[in-house]
Amino acid sequence: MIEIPLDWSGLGLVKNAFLSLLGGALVSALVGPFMFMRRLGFVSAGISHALLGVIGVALLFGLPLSAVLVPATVVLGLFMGMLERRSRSGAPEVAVALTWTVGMAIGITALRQVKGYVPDAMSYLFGNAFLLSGSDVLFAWGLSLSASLAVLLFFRGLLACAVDEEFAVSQGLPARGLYYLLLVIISLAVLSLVKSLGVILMIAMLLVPPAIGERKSRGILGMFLWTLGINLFTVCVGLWLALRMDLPVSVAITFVLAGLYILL
Amino acid sequence: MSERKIALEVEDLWVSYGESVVLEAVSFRVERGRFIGIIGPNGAGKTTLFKAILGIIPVKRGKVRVFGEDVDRVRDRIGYVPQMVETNPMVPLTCGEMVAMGLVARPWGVRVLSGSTEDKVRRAMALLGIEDLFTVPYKTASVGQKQRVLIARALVKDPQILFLDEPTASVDEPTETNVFYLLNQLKGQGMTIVMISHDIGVLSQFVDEIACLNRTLVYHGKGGEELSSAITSAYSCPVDLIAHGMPHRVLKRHEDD
Ligand SMILES: Nc1ncnc2c1ncn2[C@@H]1O[C@H](COP(=O)(O)OP(=O)(O)O)[C@@H](O)[C@H]1O
Ligand SMILES: [Mg+2]
Repeated sequence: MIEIPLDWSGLGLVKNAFLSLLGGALVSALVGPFMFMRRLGFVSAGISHALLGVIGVALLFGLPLSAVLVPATVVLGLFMGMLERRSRSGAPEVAVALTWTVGMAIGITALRQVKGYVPDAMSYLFGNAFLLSGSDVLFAWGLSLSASLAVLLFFRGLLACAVDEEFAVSQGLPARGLYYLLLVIISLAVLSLVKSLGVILMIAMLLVPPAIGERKSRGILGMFLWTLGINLFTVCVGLWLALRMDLPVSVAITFVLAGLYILL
Repeated sequence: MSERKIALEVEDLWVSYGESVVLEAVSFRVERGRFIGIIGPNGAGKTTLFKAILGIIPVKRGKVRVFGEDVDRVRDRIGYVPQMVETNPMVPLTCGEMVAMGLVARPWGVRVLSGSTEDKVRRAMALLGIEDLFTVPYKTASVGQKQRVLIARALVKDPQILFLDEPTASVDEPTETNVFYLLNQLKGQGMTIVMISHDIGVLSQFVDEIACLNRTLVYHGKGGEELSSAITSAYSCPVDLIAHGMPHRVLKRHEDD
């Protein structure tokens, strides 16, 4: 499926894959723990899967992806967040699952109509880190950096709400606003990972490292450092494995993460 | 009574969860530097009263003023110790980090980290005798230790009014007495203290005034015979009270206590 690139352009593609995965490792290390701590894994997976619908529709109507994707993903993320908040007060989680699956169904339907894009459906589903252009890398890094900076800027507020929302409100923090801010951040992070890891497998990269980090650390800083370390390790080993075994990078990364989760 | 001397003013407060009214027409005032104990049977609405005062849950009708202002304008001066000690177990925090949560500043938690944070945290923990818990994971602390960590979290920012919701429910007796001595000392420094407690006995030795709540305020005053009958009717069981700051005792415990 993927030839091990030996010529210059091939090395460029490996370099692009590495650079974009590095950005992915950074943003997942900052966003993933909040996803994990706030139990937003299901919702985040829903956002990434439903994103396929946004991509499909944009391609079908010939809309410029770079202009459409960011606002559409943010709206999708906020909508999913609203459904999740409602489900906490007793409403069924079906609404989240329905948005997730309908989004994917729309995506598959739309991609089937786009001439020449049928094979590319696979690359959106599982990512294709070895086929990234320089502008793909820039786009991913722009999103990773925005999401990462937002986390750093609002770190204490986001953390206080993750610990205990009622106490956070008593301290004057806008808990609802911070919740939706987190969903915007998650949406940007998800979007930054689409081309390299795909809508289906990226959730492993976002959720598994913080889960290990939580097990391994006494305090909050330890959790974030563990997550960053695991992410960097996973990206490097995953990329090497993908080249060695001729696997898609997202698949290799998923295997590495599963191994770490069991071993650590 | 001059307005400037009032720390907390609750006027005609009504709160409901959906259809069911939990608090009706609650009105009372607390002067600055006073220690008020709030008692009442389980499900009386004590916790709800705190949450309504602090803006955690919406108020159906009525007015709450803290230091003569809207609560939102004086949050920096308010400390809160919630009843539930169990926080989100997915968040790994040391006890020190948990105490530091009390320093999260408005708006939106944006705050430049300052070197004095750790000093403040350690000082607050020392007040409660839990300095050695600084690096201990909050999750692994005992319930009594958690309660003291949460008191430290409320004290770390030097509030001027402190709301405590049954903060000594799970600590042993010497610790409970120590907490009360600490609160008394803080009161001496001018802090206003509003405390919910089940333990009328210990409470009545320390507080300046007592309020008894059961959906509405059935008593508010300095204790004595009036309180005794108010409690008897609120708890619907006989209560043995000795007036004027001596230990009071609920004779017959509730099944659900
Ligand atoms: N989130 C909630 N939703 C619905 N009812 C609630 C909620 N919280 C408390 N209640 C009800 O409100 C009443 C007062 O509860 P609470 O304020 O916790 O009492 P107390 O602290 O005096 O024991 C109880 O009947 C309780 O069942
Ligand atoms: Mg209560």
